[in-house]
Amino acid sequence: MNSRPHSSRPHSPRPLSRRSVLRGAAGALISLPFLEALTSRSLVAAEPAGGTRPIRLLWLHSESGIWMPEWKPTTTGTNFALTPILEPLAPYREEISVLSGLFHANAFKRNAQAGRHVQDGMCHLTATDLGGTPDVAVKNGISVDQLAAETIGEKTRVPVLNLSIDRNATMSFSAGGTPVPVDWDPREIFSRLFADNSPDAKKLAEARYLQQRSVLDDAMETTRDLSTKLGTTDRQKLDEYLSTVREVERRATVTRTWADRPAVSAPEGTKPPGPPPDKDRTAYVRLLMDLMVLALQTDQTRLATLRLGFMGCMYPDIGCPDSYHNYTHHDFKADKQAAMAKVDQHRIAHLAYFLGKLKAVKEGEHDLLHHCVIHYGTGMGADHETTDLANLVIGRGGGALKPGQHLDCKGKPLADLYVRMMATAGMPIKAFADSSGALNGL
Amino acid sequence: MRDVSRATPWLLLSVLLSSRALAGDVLTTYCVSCHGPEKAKSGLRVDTLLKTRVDEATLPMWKEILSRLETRDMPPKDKKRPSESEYGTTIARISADVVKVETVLEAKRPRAMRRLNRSEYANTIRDLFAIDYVPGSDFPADDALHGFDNVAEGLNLSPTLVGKYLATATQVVERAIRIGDKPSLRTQVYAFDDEKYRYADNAKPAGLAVYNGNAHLSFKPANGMARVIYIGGPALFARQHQHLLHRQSGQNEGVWRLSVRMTPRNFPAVEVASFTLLGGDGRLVAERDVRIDAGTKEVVLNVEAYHDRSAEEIGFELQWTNGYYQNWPNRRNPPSKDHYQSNHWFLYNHRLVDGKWQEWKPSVPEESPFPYFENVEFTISGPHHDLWPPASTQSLLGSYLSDGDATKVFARFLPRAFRRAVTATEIERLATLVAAQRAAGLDAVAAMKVGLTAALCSPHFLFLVEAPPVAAARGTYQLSGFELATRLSYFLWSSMPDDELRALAVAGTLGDPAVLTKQVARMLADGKSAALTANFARQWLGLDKLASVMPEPKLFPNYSESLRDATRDETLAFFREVVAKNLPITDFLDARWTFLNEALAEHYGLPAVPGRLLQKVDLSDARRGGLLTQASVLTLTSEATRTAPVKRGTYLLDHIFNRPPPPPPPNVGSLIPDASQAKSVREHLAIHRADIACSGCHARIDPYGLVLENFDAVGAWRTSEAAHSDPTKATNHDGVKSQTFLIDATAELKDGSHLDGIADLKQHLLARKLDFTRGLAERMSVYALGRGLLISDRGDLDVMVKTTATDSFRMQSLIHAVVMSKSFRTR
Repeated sequence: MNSRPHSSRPHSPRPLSRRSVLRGAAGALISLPFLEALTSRSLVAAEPAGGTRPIRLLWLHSESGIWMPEWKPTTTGTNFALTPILEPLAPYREEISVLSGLFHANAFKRNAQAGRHVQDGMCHLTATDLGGTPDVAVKNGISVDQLAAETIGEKTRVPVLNLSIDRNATMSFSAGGTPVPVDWDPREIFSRLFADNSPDAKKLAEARYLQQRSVLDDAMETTRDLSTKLGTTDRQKLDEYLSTVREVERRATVTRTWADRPAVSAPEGTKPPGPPPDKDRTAYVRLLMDLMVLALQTDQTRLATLRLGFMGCMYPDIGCPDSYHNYTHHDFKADKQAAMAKVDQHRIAHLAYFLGKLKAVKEGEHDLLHHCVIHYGTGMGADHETTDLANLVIGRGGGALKPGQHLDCKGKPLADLYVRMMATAGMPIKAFADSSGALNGL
Repeated sequence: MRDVSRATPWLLLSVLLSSRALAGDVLTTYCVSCHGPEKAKSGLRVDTLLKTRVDEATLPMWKEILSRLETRDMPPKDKKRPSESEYGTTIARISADVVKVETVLEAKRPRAMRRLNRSEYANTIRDLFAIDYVPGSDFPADDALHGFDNVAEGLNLSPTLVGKYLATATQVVERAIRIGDKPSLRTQVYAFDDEKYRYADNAKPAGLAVYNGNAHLSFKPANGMARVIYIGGPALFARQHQHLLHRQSGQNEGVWRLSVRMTPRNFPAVEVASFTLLGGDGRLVAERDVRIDAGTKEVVLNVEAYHDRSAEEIGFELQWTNGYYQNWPNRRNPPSKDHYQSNHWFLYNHRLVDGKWQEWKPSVPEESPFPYFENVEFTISGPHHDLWPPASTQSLLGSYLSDGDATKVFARFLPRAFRRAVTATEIERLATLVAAQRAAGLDAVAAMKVGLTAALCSPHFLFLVEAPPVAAARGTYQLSGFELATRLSYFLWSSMPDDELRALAVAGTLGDPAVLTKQVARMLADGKSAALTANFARQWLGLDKLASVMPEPKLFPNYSESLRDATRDETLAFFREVVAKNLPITDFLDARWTFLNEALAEHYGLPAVPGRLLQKVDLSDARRGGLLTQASVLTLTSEATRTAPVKRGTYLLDHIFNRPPPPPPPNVGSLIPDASQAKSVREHLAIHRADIACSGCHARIDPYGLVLENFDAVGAWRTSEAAHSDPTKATNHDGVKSQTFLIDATAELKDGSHLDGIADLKQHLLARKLDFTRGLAERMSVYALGRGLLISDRGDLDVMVKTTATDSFRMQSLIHAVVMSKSFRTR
């Protein structure tokens, strides 16, 4: 589980890059320039096969909550005033809707095995009750992005892009609650999106595929042989292994068919990124956002998730050097609450940057943002509260949504929003977790 | 007068016939009023239950009823209750039915094949290939069942995991087989030169990157004064780090050696300096304690670490972890408005004069009166290879490079990888695979790598295969020599059998009790038995929960990650010692010794122990000694701001006696504090006693937690408790009433006996050492067998308890008894 203690001593035996901040002599942060060249000069989306523009679904998340008093607009409807935390979104006001009153009832049920922080991280996209039987590991459900990937994932080279600045935790879970590891290294993400298409690289990939096939075929044959020697009472797990190996082989085959398709190169002028800018979180978040835009623009994927803040994040460069989690335990001290709000606003500024990049990509008569439905959410509200949460829906879903409002959803399941998102992207589902219908009014 | 002799048989018959009816009568008389058609408390309807038989569907409810009757929890004290004999007959009747049904169900259940879990996979790779590589750190976590992550039914498979097996197998084989020219060994000395390496301008000469810590934080709060001196040179001060990043291109994979020399200055008396060396990836490489006194001229540290080939930078981080940096009051919130989060940076610029912080920048190290090390010099050399090609490659390939005979390779490798004798067919199959790869264009070595990868993805490697004949009923199949060797080695070593075990399996003598006994003793003495501590003890004692506790820093400013790790290590070292020295398991309940280091001794208020490394220490303080007095257990059973007697009581029932209480009924809220007055934790829990529905279980749980109240939420001793009216706002001083209470560590148990504090608790537990032995035997059996326990195991467990008790409750006796049991040797 991905809970993390919030003390940080200077010399803990962890990778230096994880949380420490390298300072220059004068105490200034070494900051890396955003990789402007990364978002390409050809800001036009790729033409999809079949003509209709696909709707992209994106989920952005930051852990541990948000300072609700400076987040929630005081009035509902379309004329609401932007609150301080939402200020950075002013240029995109028409594209965003603020949703109040949505929450995950099941996911935040009192649980002796998994505290609220664990639930925040693990259940944001699954809305599942982890269950709390002592001696038995908690069990998660499938997350909505993986559900979507199962449906439309094979239409793109990358079924779903799960990104995070925290390589140790994921909010994506496949069927059965198996965690799906995140991609956090910009270099690997880039090479996943724009694999080397030279004949040599293709030959190498093909050779590697054939070797894998050899190994997996052998594993399947051996397992079958062994199974037949055993009675039914002993073969269960082996049969499970067999079907799992078969699934891995099937996925490898699907990936291989992509290698035969016309090459997709990165837009002209795009420079491959370097290692994760651990020392400058703003650069890191924005780099991952650039990569998301690139992936969507080139139709390498239509689904993505991004965790852009976690519990232990510290933001000394904006004057909030303590961990975010410590600010959430503000004990009614005004300066801590202000710090929490400042970090929240800082994160919303990242979102604004992202929207700007999406809007800058032309797509048909509109832009890429027009064809997105983006959810930004925090798992908890202020004070570790779990019913009064911050949720944003951004984008028009190709015209299906009418953003620009503050909607009071009056305690409906947040999963209703997920159902609505799926429907907008052409994947109507009857229910998801504790939802039994799509959220209306968007 | 009635003729009794003639009436007796009728009397007996009617008693027999009515015993079942009697049980039903008892339940009807005493239970249905609350659990019947009028009221169905907790959703239980005894009347409808009585109409059905005890079967698979109703089994859980009957077991619950049985448990409540056995503990006399039900009916509640304020209702009409059966007599003792009624309790007795009812329990006996229901037990008999439950056992009958369970036995049938158990016989039908599939026996799962157990796959290697993460830790077992890594250890097996280590032993199979003799390489220093820890795979599996990015494997999905294994699911635990019955408290352990090596239980066959709980271990799931997913495409993610299998994908990882494939990728990892490829990498492992790459690492194991290294051919070509021997990488050249290079040595580089880094002696600091003020001019060249001063951090101030962050200059990095080509080919070399050195970061000096640039803040000195050596100060002594003993007399309340602190002084800070800024140093920008090649010195090492208390609590500071020195980083070394050596860049070298080419084949860097292998063992790298680092030697650090430095000169101690200003050390007045005898001092133990603790050092930690980390690798560039943050991995712990070594910990050293060095004794320094006024006569010590030089300190030299020598360490070794393995670096993998992709690293062009070989990094080390040296820390002097103790020293004069003591617990600075209110460390988390320095007494200044400066927003520097780390003490380094604050102290970089300030000094405390007359209780006020002032900006200050001194210029030379000589100004420091405090101990420090100067002239730090690093010598780094690598990659070292004693053998080339490395031992792993030679033992794998043999003569393959010259004769290309794949059959020979697999004939040698497969019996070890599959942990049994292999057939010619199995060998041929992989040799054919290699040949096919060669035909496809791969060179000999590359083709062989594919074959070895295939072996590592085989179910014979990934699973602990036990192959009873198809029709064999559960428990009737005697394990083969290899199967027994495998079970044994994964129990005690979490890894594959070694050559000696394999030889005994081949010879067919492993099953002989004398041989088995000797092997168990040998294996426990082998260093690989550290896995028993790392895996069994960690899970038995629930220590993983420690990673997520967050004691409120305002209330517990001395609690840090390093203290937390030390408490965990103390408990694990304690377990290891009980095993290694074959001490009585009653030491877990009460002992006159433990393991301490500097930080722990201070935390416990015990006589000082110098240095960072744990040492065994005798305890004269009767308040400490035994698991329930160890900070690890006490902390993981607490909340962030206060103790949690319910958690502690539950822990004791669960981990000491393996008889956990049932979970609370659904929809019961958490304690709702009465905000109008401050209450001690004990007073808050009074609700449990007052409410009849709660007291059934809580009368059993709470007392065990309340007697531990002298230990605060991080395990320190206390005699009073500062309580606030809302325990969740313990640190809020705005208008929240607070009060200090004297700790009351008395408790009354269900049987009426009275306990006062830890001393009484220890006596109470020791009086129940047979129950403890049973609980530990059960837990250890689950771990050793890799499955949940069955009714058919009860006989074996009885023997284990008896055997251990007869041998003064010695730990190794218990382990031997587990191995000798029928359950362990059959499937």
